Amino acid sequence: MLVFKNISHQFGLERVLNDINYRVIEGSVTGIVGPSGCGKSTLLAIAAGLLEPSEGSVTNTFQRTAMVFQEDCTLAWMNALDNISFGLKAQGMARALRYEKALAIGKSLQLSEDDLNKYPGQLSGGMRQRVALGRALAVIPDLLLLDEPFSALDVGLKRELQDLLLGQIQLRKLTAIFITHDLLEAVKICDQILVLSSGGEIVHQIAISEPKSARNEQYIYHKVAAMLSDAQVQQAFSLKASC
Amino acid sequence: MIIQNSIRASFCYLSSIWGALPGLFLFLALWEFGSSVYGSFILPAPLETFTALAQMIEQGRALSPMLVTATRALSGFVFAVSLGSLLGLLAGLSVTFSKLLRPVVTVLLGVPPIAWIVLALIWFGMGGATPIFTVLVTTFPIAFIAAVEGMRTVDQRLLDMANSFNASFSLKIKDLYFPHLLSYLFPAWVTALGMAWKVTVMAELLATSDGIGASLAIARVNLETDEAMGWVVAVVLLLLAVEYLILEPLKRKLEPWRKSVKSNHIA
Repeated sequence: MLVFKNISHQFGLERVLNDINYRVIEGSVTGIVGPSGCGKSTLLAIAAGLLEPSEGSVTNTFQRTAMVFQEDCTLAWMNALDNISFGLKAQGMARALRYEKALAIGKSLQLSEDDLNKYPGQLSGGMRQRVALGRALAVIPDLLLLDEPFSALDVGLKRELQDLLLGQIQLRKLTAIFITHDLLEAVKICDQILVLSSGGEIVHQIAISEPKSARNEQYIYHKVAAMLSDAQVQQAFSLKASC
Repeated sequence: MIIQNSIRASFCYLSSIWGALPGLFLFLALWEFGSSVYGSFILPAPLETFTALAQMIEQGRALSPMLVTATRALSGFVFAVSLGSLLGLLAGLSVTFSKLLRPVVTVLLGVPPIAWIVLALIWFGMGGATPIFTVLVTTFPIAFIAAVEGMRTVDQRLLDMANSFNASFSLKIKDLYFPHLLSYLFPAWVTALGMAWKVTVMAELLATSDGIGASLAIARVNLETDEAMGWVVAVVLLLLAVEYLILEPLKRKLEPWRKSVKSNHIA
């Protein structure tokens, strides 16, 4: 399990997170939404252990945590296959074995052998993000942290990768934290959604029990509209003035 | 696939030479023109120069000074550049260390090579140690500063990524810092190499009785302008040979991803 206890964080004098308490339910996908600069990425970095919170503590009892970053963060000087096997290399796995695993992961993410031989500079944004996802999945994590992984992609590509991600999460029975500023995306993918205000506080929290396969366009739009009718959500996204 | 790629690579290489030829011919034409204006005593024509060099090679007077100069320049260069790159890499890991060493290196860079030659003459006297020392002390800071600069510009997001997979320090150096560093080191190495030849010849002219610099001094004393020009051409040819036969292939081997990205954009 992953528990945030009284987490607050400051960068210099600026407070980006304020008293976050939350327990991530195992086997669920938790979405964290909020306006830009509300501290969602900071919260994820704290969950990943990349950052020490100024106050409070995180308990992470998952065996292995892997993270997918906003910009794909692939290494330009390695081909896609080497990029996917980077996490395995860090574990000290032998070359032949890690290539075998990375090849299988790449295939399951619909990357051809030809694509896997290319350098990131030769791949499209969507392909690079697949590589980044593959790199995270290759270490067989039980907790997956996703920091706005699809925010740079166009609508069609975004949908394709969301479906791919959902398939992998269900297949591997992963627990995940998914950060996004796109409510449509959050409603499509997540079981729990937390709304952070620009002050870094959880102002709204909902659970979506509808099975993911039943969430069609209509349901998603409907659900987002319902969320946005909440005064605190409106305030978090500063929608009040325009509404 | 591999054969195809290498054929394509050599084709690209050849076509880049084709692109450079007009510039080279323009230069030769200007040189020829200058020679026809000032006469061959002041400025020997390209053909006279090359003939003089060919003659010196034939008489067995050219190869041994070239070898001596090349050995001095390259030994100083290789030692200084590996030391500078390595120390720069380490210094770049720590803000304190790089701040501490920065002014020292700036001072080293600021001292003119000719001043180093004079000091080396006092410290080491006449002989081969003077040019090698001067090359060392003038090229070291170039590599060092490039390495520090490279280390300080590593993308923090990539470091976060590596840390999120608990990558060890040695893996980060090998797969993250070093490949990034190379894009800073190569241009610096090329600059340092050019500097190494110039400084070696200059130091030899003043401090030694062998090598291209010493031969230049003799040509000057005898007022053999065509031979002096021949030696200049010899130095330039040596520099080009080292750059295009050693450094450039090394770069292609160490940074294959750059070439691929480029060819992809053209396609």
